[in-house]
Amino acid sequence: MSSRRVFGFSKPRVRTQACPCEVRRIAPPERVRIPIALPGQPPLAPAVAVGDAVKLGQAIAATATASAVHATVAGRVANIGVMHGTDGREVHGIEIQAAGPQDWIEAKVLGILERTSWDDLTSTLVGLGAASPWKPKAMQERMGPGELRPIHTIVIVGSEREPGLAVQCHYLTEGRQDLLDSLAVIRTLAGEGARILLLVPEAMRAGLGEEFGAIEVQPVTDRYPDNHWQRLLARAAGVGHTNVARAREGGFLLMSAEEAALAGRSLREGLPRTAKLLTVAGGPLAEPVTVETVLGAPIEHVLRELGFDVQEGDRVILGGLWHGHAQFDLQAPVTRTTDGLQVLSAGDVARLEENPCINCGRCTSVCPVRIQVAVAARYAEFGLMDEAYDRGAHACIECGLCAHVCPARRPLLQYMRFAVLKHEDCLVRDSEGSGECLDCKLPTAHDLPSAPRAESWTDDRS
Amino acid sequence: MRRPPLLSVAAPPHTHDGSRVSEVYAWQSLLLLPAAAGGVWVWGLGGLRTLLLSVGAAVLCEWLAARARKRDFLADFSIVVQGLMLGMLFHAGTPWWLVLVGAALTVFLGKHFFGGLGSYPFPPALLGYAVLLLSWPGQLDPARRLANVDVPFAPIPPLEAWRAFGAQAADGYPLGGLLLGQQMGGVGSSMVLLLALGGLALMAGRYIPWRTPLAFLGGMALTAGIFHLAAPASYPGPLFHLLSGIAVFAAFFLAADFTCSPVNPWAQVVFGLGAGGLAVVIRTFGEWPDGTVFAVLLVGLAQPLIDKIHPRPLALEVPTR
Repeated sequence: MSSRRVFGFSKPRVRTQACPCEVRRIAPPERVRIPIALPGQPPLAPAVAVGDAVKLGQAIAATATASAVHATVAGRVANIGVMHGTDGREVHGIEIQAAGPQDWIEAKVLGILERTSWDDLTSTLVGLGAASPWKPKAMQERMGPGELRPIHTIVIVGSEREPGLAVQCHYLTEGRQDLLDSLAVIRTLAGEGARILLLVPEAMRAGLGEEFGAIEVQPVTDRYPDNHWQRLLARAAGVGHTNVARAREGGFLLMSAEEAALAGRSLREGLPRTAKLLTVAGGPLAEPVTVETVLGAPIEHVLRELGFDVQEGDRVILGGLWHGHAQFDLQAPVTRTTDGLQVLSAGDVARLEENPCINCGRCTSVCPVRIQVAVAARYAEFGLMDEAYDRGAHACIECGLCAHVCPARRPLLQYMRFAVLKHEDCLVRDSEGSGECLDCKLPTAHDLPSAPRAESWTDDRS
Repeated sequence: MRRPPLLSVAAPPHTHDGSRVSEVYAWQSLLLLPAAAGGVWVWGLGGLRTLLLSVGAAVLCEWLAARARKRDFLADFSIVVQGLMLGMLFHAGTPWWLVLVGAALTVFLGKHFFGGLGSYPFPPALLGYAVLLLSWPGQLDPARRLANVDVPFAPIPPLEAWRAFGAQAADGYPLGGLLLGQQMGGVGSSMVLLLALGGLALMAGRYIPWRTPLAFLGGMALTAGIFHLAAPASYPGPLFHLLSGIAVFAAFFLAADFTCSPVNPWAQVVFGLGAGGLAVVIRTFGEWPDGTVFAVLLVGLAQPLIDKIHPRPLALEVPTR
């Protein structure tokens, strides 16, 4: 999966494995923690209080425009407060303790799609918590002209976020009916003029049936990092490099096949989405397995159900090995953008340290967006963020290839992130507009791209 | 209830290809060995003594420096490579004290004075050797020190012969002999064929950059070719330049030192062409017959400037339909 080394030279060779044909369903957890905001953004307003009884699928937090977060187990609200997000930063969240019968709320099934008005469809989707893909057009009407350009291309990614995961592919195989349902809805919402692009791994192109006839299906490479979502988006948008926010400005919308398919399922069943697929690897598993659990389930629960015994010093990663987040707390929840859960035993952990760079240039030569990694990392290491920016740190897509091939084992991706975050931080602290950071005195008047953190729009509710 | 386990937390990626710095230098020293063995074959025990003394002294100095700077001793193999390269630059009759001084200069001045591996601006062995060459030119002249050694080839280094007797002196050196190291010079630094084979193997494994050495040889051939075409009677052809002295050694092992050569493709080409061209110019007009040493040092000085030639990082764009 990772890479093949030939005499010193390594080039990751990533092939899409056959999708494991079966999704293992695991028992619902006794407790869920559901984030109701992204770091740095105002949280959604809780619609419940501590001690309230909630049903499965009940809205527990909402915004003024009625987009909502739903309970993924039935029980009692145990806690409302601050928790840790996947990346370790604090976010607001709601904890629910499972109790009693797992009853769903009443389903609200829409009638026949063709006879439903655009407004009804949108508000239903928003109420089901599947707001994001449709929100832009809704916002376009509510926010007045000029704020966001209308969407003309919707890119649905059916390839995985990173090597070793097998989540999106399920929606091209046994979950395809949900995806097809959803594509019909997207077509209705986006209008006839819009282009809908479904990106599928080359190996799976042949397996797709005639049902996808009306959709533009584009096979994409299975080489990493060429199949990194940000690279796929740039290719689909016909530019050298872009990120989700900029592509959105240009009218391109990126969504995962999972998010699209589950919105389709929600609409058909009239119930909000609670499910999340997750590829788990490591520990006692000889082969990775894909399991279905619920949003907000603690990773400890998932691991226990699969027979893991996490030891002191192990590394538990939400996401994949290339750009997933190592967790310090086994209570961390599964979120919408979590496609993987990997456990590395203490002996297998790759230790990156602050070793000196020998200037071999492997990092620079593997960088898919041509960052001068070796130099930029040294600038970031010594606090010269301007220079690190100049050498391309801001363009980083966090594919992790540089640190993967570094013989000195330097934490190169961390240096790139550090440069980006430090810069954002400076901008925040320069709220008075003095032009320089109050702490480090660096100038803040950069033409900063919006942070390349958000992988997809789904992040606004992760 | 059991305390939850303390987990290992770090930034991604959580996967590594397993390469190490020590592996890079282990391969470099390993692939220098054939040429060193060739040098011993030509120069006998005197050659072996020089090599062992040089490597041993370099390692000893490294131990002292590592202790003083509180660094891991021999964590990477780089000092073995430097000691070996220094020994290969010396001729077989170099006095023992000169080898010791050279090794000390290499380690203390060349490497640690600038901050150690990754920070030095010149190949340490080359800097140490250049200081000795300026200080004790007579002692380092193989023609003078090895005059009483019986060798099956011309007892004058080819470059000196050319400078003394003109381009027709080059005819006294069959190219095949030069290729096999049949020339007066250092222990192993003139074993052209074995050095080239080792260098090509290192290139294939990406243990040295591949553009820099090729550009170096190209720059040398180009400059020598221009001189030769202008006045064939005074200036020998490119092949003579490439095969004599330490040209190939410098191309694959000195100019291609990661730490003091550029990273980006075009910068590597410029660096190589510049160093190679300058080497021929110094060989032609300079006071030292093998100006390659100084050419690499001079261009190394310009490396921060040359490294300003780099591809532009991709800019984040707003796509338009």
